[in-house]
Amino acid sequence: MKTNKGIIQRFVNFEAAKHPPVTTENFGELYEQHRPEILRFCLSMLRNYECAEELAKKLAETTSRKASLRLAEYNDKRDSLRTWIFKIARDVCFDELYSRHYPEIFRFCLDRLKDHVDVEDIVQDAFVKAYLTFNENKGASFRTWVYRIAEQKCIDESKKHRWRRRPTEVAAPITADAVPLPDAETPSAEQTVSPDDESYDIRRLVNECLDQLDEREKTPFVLHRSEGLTYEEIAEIIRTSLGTARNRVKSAEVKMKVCLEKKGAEDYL
Amino acid sequence: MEQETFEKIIESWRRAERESTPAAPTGKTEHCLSFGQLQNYAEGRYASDEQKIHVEACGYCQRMVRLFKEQAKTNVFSMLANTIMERLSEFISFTSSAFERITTSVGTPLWKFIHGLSKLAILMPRPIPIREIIAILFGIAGVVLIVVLVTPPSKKEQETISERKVEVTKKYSVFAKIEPVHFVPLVIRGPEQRTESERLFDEGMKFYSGKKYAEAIQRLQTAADKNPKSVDAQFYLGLCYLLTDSTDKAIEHFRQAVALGGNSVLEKSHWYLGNAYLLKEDGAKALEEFEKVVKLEGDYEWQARERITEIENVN
Repeated sequence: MKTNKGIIQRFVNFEAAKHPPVTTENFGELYEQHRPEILRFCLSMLRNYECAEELAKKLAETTSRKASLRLAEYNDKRDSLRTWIFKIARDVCFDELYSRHYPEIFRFCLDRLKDHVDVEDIVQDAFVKAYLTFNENKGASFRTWVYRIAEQKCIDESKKHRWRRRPTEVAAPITADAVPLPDAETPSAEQTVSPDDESYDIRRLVNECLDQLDEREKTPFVLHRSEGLTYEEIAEIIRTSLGTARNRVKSAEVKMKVCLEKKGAEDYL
Repeated sequence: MEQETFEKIIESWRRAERESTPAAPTGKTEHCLSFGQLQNYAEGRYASDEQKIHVEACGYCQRMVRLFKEQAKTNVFSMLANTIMERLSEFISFTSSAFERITTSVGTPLWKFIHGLSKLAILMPRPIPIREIIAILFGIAGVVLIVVLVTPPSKKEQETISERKVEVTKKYSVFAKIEPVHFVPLVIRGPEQRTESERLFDEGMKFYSGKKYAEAIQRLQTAADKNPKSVDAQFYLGLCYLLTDSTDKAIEHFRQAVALGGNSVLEKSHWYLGNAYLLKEDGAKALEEFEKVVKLEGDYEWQARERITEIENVN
């Protein structure tokens, strides 16, 4: 009977060692204890960002709000409140980063893959990978890290399609009757241009000029001008020295100026 | 073109680009799961009922769960591939740097191809903790290989080698043939008038036929002490000593048996003496004994002839 008592006692102790369940009422007090830690944690996640402190404060508030909504999750296991809150803070910070960088990464991938595959899938895949390997990123900022992963994903995807024919090429059989008319060759994008929408035309012009550039000059130029990355970040993404990154951007600018002058881009302004 | 107009054009292009791209992934709402929750859901760790209901309805969440599952599947293989590629690239870069020194003047296309390969491997996303472990494993395997190749032969192998050397020195003892003689006890009908030494001899021979030579030696020794002229006791004593690997004593007793001049065991004692000398690697004396056996023209004659030819072949 002694052993039985011992086992029961141990079980009771184990239950008592678990953290007490948290309700929505006492959660506020508990959260206040961990607030400075979480603020510091959010700051470390958002390093290299402008006005990171205000952002961190905002994110700490959202973590408290989200955690209070997800209390049922914690009460199921009751392992450690501190780690649980930290996990949520990490999620919130990553969501913030995700929503911030999603558009530019989308543009980056779209530029590389030219619309013939599901770009959204690849972008999300890149973010999933970035989430899983977040801790392994040493030194580099999150932005360049995601850019690198996205670049790798795009290369993988283009390798998949290298030996495949495009469906349009397969679908068109060569017969004597089906001679392509010269009018059909003109791009359909021109027909949809409305004369009131000025910015669309300029966008098209600039993109045409960009397509004439070499790939090695195009990506640094786009990253610098459109996304506002610094030369150092670009050098990290395309894996060159700082000098070559700067030179490529400059030479691309000169070429773009010549091209835009030829096309008469000033008239569209 | 002036800088200002260029800046204006680029600015408007930038604005247009930003307007055209989606700000957030399609189908994502505030109710969608966060990354941590999606990971838990994909790995089957934790999911509340609300989350399950939501994921079934939401296209975005389903896609993310699929991606997480794929990532978990490919992780191991990609790690392995990465590590192998890294080892390869290190090897290639090492060899190519050596190659470059040799062929600085000749820019071969093969060399360019190898160089390109080494650059390809660097493109992969690198930071994976397991690669160090696998590198260490490779290193350990290499060290073990070297140790196995370099270590001296173990004790068993050394023993076999020493045995071979001993065999070379053993010229004669290989031919020695020692088998116990079959003994039939005497049965005498009539009144028993046996002396004490004879009784002891009978007892000893019972142990002898039961192959208990140590006990047999005790009895036979006492019997031989009491009646020093008994030839049989001396002979069987010698045989017992020979069978228990003490050849010196055996030779003594056989000689005594020969000296006593008993006809019944003369041939046998000469035969076993020869074998005993063979065990002691004394070829000349063994030859003498075997020639005596041949002269006697008994049961052991042909075996003795064989021994003689073998000994002569060795010499």
